[in-house]
Amino acid sequence: MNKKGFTLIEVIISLAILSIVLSVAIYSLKYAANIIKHLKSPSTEQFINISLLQDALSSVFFFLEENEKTKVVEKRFNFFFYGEKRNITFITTKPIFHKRGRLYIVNLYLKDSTVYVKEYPVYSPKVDYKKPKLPDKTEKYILLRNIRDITIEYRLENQWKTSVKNKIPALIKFSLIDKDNKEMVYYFKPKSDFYMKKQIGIYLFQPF
Amino acid sequence: MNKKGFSLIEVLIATVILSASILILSGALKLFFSYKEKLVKYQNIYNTTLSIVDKILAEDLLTKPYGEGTLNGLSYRYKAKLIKKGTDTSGYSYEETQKSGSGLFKILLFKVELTVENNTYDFYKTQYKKISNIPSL
Repeated sequence: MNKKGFTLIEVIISLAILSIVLSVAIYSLKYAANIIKHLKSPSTEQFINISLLQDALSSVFFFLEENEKTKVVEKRFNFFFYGEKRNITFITTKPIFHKRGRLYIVNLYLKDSTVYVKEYPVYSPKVDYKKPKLPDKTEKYILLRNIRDITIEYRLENQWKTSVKNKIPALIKFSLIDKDNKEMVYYFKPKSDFYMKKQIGIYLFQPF
Repeated sequence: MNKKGFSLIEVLIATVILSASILILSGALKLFFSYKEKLVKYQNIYNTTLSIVDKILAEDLLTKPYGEGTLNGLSYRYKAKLIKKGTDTSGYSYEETQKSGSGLFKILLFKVELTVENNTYDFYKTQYKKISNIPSL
């Protein structure tokens, strides 16, 4: 140990090193703050899932379910589409979490700050295809996390409604509010091919 | 073990190595997050543009051929141009359509030019306009 203490050169060098280290530390802190900002930003998974939801809703199938309450021929069948403010049930050819191609009943709902999706094939032993319904113990999948609220609106005959039953809306507005109160709005247009509607319309008026 | 402790040179070298490591790590993190930010921005533009397209597809372009607005922080404007029209004659017999030239619907083909945040996209929309009632089946 040098009993005389540090020389001037040593002190200057130490100060220079300390300055460099402090600069690097501040620089790193700045990026640590950026990391926190990014952790709060919407994740890639969320965007992918929104895109898959868009596919599912744009491929809504004009599925006819049997209406048991009436025996009048033209009222015996309904379109399978049920929408409310915070949940939606429909039949699609493009399920979100399963292989595409088969018809699936899809139910989307918000619970405990998470948007869940339940899916089940329409044509399976556990489902009555005439009156499709999700089996009780259907597996649920996480679609979106950290969602404070969702609002689903449906445009029918140029009017926005908060619920729809047995009708395929022209447009669906999906508003998401995350935990930081950031709102994202997405529009989804269900497939509403004119000829398909017309064919089904004609079919509805034919005796079965 | 050196009882005298570290020499100034040793401490200097160690500090330089530490500083260099922190700098490299910071640089790598900066690069990673700049790419992530670009990806998030791109995904937002992608999903939002698809939403805007869906919104326009649900509009009646004959009465509202242009419009603008903001969605998810992205400004957009669109302009639709009618490029072709025809008549849907299904439901009528061949003789009937030959006589009147009428059908159930006019089929209109629009070309839509959509600009989202200075990026321009083109897409087409087919629209139907009712011109007569459905004949008896």
